[in-house]
Amino acid sequence: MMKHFIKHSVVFAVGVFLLVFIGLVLPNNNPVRTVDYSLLTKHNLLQQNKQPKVVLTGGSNVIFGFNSQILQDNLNYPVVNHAIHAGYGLKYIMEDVLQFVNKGDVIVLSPEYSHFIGDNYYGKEPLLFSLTVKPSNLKLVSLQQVASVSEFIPQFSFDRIKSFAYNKVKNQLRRTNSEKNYTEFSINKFGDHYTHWDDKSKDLKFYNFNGVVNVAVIEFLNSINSQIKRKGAKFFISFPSLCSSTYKKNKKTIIAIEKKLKKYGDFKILDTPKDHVYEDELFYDTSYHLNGDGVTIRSKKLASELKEQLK
Amino acid sequence: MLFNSFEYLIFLPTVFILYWFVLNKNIRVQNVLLLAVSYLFYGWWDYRFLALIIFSSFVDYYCGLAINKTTSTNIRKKWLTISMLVNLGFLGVFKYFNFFSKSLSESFSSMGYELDTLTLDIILPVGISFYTFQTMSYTIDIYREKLSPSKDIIAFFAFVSFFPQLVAGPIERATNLLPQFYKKREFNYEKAADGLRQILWGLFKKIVIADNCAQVVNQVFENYTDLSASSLLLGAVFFAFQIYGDFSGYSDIAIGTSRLFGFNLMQNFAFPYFSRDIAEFWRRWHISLSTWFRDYVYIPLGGSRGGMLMKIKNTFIIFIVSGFWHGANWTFVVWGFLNALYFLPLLLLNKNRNHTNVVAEGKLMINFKEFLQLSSTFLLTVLAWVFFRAATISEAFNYIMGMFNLSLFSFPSIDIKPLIYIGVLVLVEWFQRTKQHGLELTTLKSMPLRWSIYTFIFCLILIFGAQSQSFIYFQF
Repeated sequence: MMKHFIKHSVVFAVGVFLLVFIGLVLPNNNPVRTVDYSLLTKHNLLQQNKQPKVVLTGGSNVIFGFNSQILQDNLNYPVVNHAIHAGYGLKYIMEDVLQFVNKGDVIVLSPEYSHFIGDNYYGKEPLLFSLTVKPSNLKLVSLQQVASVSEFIPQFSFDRIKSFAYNKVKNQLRRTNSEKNYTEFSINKFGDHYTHWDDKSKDLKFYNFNGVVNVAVIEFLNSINSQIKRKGAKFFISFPSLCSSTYKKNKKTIIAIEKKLKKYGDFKILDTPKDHVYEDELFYDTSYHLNGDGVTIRSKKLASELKEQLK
Repeated sequence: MLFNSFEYLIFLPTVFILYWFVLNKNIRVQNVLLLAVSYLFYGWWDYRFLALIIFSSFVDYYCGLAINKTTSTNIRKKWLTISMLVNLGFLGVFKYFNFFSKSLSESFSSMGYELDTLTLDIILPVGISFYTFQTMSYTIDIYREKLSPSKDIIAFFAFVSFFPQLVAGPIERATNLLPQFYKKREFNYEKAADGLRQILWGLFKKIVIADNCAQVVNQVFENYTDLSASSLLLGAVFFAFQIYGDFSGYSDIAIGTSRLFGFNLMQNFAFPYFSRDIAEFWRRWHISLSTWFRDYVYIPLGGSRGGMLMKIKNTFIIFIVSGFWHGANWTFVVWGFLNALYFLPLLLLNKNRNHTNVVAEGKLMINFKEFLQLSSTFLLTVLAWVFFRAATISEAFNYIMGMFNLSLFSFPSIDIKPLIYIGVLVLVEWFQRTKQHGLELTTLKSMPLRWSIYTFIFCLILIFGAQSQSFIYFQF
């Protein structure tokens, strides 16, 4: 009886597992791939640039937040924008960039506020996208990260199966994808998302950061700081760009994050959250994504902040 | 630990293997395992509150023995009172203290006196309303001499903390569940396989129905002032299915899991939205709580023995107390009161036991009269659910007022996709309405067909499952 039960349960479980696995390893046949694929280009930029450089990293507030040309002109350092998506989790983002840090580099992190809440720094569904882009990055993923993203795996896998089948049909019909933004080709030679700079702003998405500030994230950043220092590089934190409406909604949490960062962090913080709160009109589509005008203002601000530090 | 989490996916098979393959020789050792894993399951959320369960179990274990030891009614009453005070005291402090404190201060303030509100900064321990009710029934049954006290402390502690039903029920009676901890459990293939099917159906109800509805419902209740009447009505209907999918889904997973370990829990939901009147609805909805209130509140109050006035008074009491059990907010009290009002005409006309069988039994479809009965009962419950979901009574009233205007005939401006999932649920449950759960396929002999159905449901969960949300009933 029991043998029979176990056998049937295992057969069913293996069937499900195989189906999920197939979804995970299917190739991406979309003619226009998402911005997640820009990771490969960014890794190339980091690898090719052997001289000391400024590396901007964090979530989408960074890829959508800077015109690296302005920073490069002001600082006389080559600049690479390594950021893509906050949903990868701060742990993955920092451990990924750490692979490319060389002596003399300056690493500037602008984490999203949500990274400090609960276990968000382990990453969510977008981390799975990044791992399919660069499977060798699996070595960076811990068991806690696996647990954090596990609930997304089945649906992620099925979405890939659906997308694979859909694109197969779509390609046969020779339709083209006219997407301009959020693709792997939306980034400039520095890694900044630039194709939206001249676009009109859309309806902004406003966020609520609920939850308790997780001090473990700050301890993790301390350890990253030590590793960067050991490599002979410098590490700074700059607060993310945020629209004033979302700032007002979450002021209490943001102040709590700032206080804890100052209390427990061993690293240099370049500014205050208020320094990077901008009017809603300077944002493109979410509370973190600046439009062209916003990008210019923030880039100049960070350039002057960094200049002070790199004197 | 959530049933729909990765941790549980590891936890359940591990416990199953330990239970049936490693520790299967000795029933006491199996009980120790169940106790340990139940505490692990609960402590995963917040280990500090384990102390509450342990203390509550200890008090009730000791009170049970003490009540049984004497024939003196006074002493027996004293021990019963201690047990009640401890259990209700926990509930009072953790669940209701802030509510009473705020209400008192507000009522004084309305009379012109300003009082400083004393509130406690405490978290509501998950499942406290469930396990305290379960342990109270134990001591009450011993007091009533319906049950002998447990002399096996491990079995008793495992009964109180049995992980499948610890945090959201069914609220089991000691007379049903406790004896199962004394007897050797035999593995039964049919029972275990049906348990797995019930778990699968519970997951479908939770992940596809409840979680998808929740996303729309949250948006609707946050922006109800800007939405059309048809959107508000649909939002309320979605909430009716959200709470059903959430809570009955949890119960299905709990019952199915228990069956894997050789335990039988009571049926907690019997397809309540196929009810022809509100009395039938309450015989089919959260059965373990309704019968608890019937046996331990309604009947001791005199039940229906003292004439119509007594019946009405007692009916209102149990509905309002039941509402209050769900949460420390006036909205729940109004929800209970509204259900009592719905119940009143049936009580006055002595028609509250008109429908004790399954609707359209033996028939494929309902007739027009039954259709009207089902729809009107459903709409009444939908209206009541608005109070259950709203943050305040005025919000609930405004929401309901917003449902009655000409825009009721416009196309809803909210995501209507959950209607498709609800359609699948209603269809499946309609054909299964005489069974214990929606996926009971014991009479279906064809294995390929059975497996195709499992695979289909599984794929529905994977493809259409929404982002996981916590179970609503955890907050109670």
